[in-house]
Amino acid sequence: MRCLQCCREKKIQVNPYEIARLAGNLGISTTEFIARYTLEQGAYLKFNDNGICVFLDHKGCGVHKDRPLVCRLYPIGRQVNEMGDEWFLELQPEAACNGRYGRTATIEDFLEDQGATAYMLAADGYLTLLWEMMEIMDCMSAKMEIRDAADVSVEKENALVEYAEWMDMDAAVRKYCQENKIIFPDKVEDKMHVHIDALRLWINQP
Amino acid sequence: MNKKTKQAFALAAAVASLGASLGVAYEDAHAGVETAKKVKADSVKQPAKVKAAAPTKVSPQIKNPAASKTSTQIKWENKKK
Ligand code: SF4
Repeated sequence: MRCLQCCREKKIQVNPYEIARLAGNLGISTTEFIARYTLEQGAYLKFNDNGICVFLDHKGCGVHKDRPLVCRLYPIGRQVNEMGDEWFLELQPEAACNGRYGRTATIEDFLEDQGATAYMLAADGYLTLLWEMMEIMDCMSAKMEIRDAADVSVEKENALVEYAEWMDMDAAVRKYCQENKIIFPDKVEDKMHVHIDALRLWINQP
Repeated sequence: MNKKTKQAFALAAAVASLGASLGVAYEDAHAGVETAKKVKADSVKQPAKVKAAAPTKVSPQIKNPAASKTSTQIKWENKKK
């Protein structure tokens, strides 16, 4: 019997690729998905008042085919650093967990079985971009002038609107395709590559 | 409006949100994860012999953003206080 304890009292992080997969599963755009099902501008899945994931229903995960990486990995976790070194972590199962844990399979088999590879590649693609963003931000903040607080808050608001458009895969890719006169891709993986290109161009604008 | 300042704010927001979505920049949570046993990626072909660090449960709580350059991809604890 499944207990689904691991879908309760958890914060499920979702990157733009995972959002696109989940939005595709529900037949909606990433723009709509972010507004309806995520917290913190698309960083985490929403949960209900009892702390249960918004996609958990009486039969189990309602988006199982397109569930996020952390759900595929559980009860292990993955760490990757800036150099691309990778580790796997074995997490303690929930107290009331009904899962059966074997010790004979390999992590590689487990990852394959869970369809985690495409998700890990996607995370690595966005991570490379994130490290670049952090570098640029370090250089920028060193140069930024101190401004009047009111002025700063208006600028902040405008900047957040611009940022939200860039992080929303469908919106950003549509804009990029229009500007560069290229066809809007169908496949999520293709859309992701265009999204990363668009973001890279955005962060490196003069 | 200063374009560079606006760009810096947008970038800061993007780093915070994209970072959170990839499990980056949460020092306290990262510290929690250290209590779990790690398996180097080059040993993924070996049967997983490691045991979790009992009795300490890995319960990473998301707290302070920090400049950690490690992505931690796990189901984070979200216990009500
Ligand atoms: S997405 Fe599915 S597997 Fe993941 S926490 Fe929600 S219900 Fe559980």
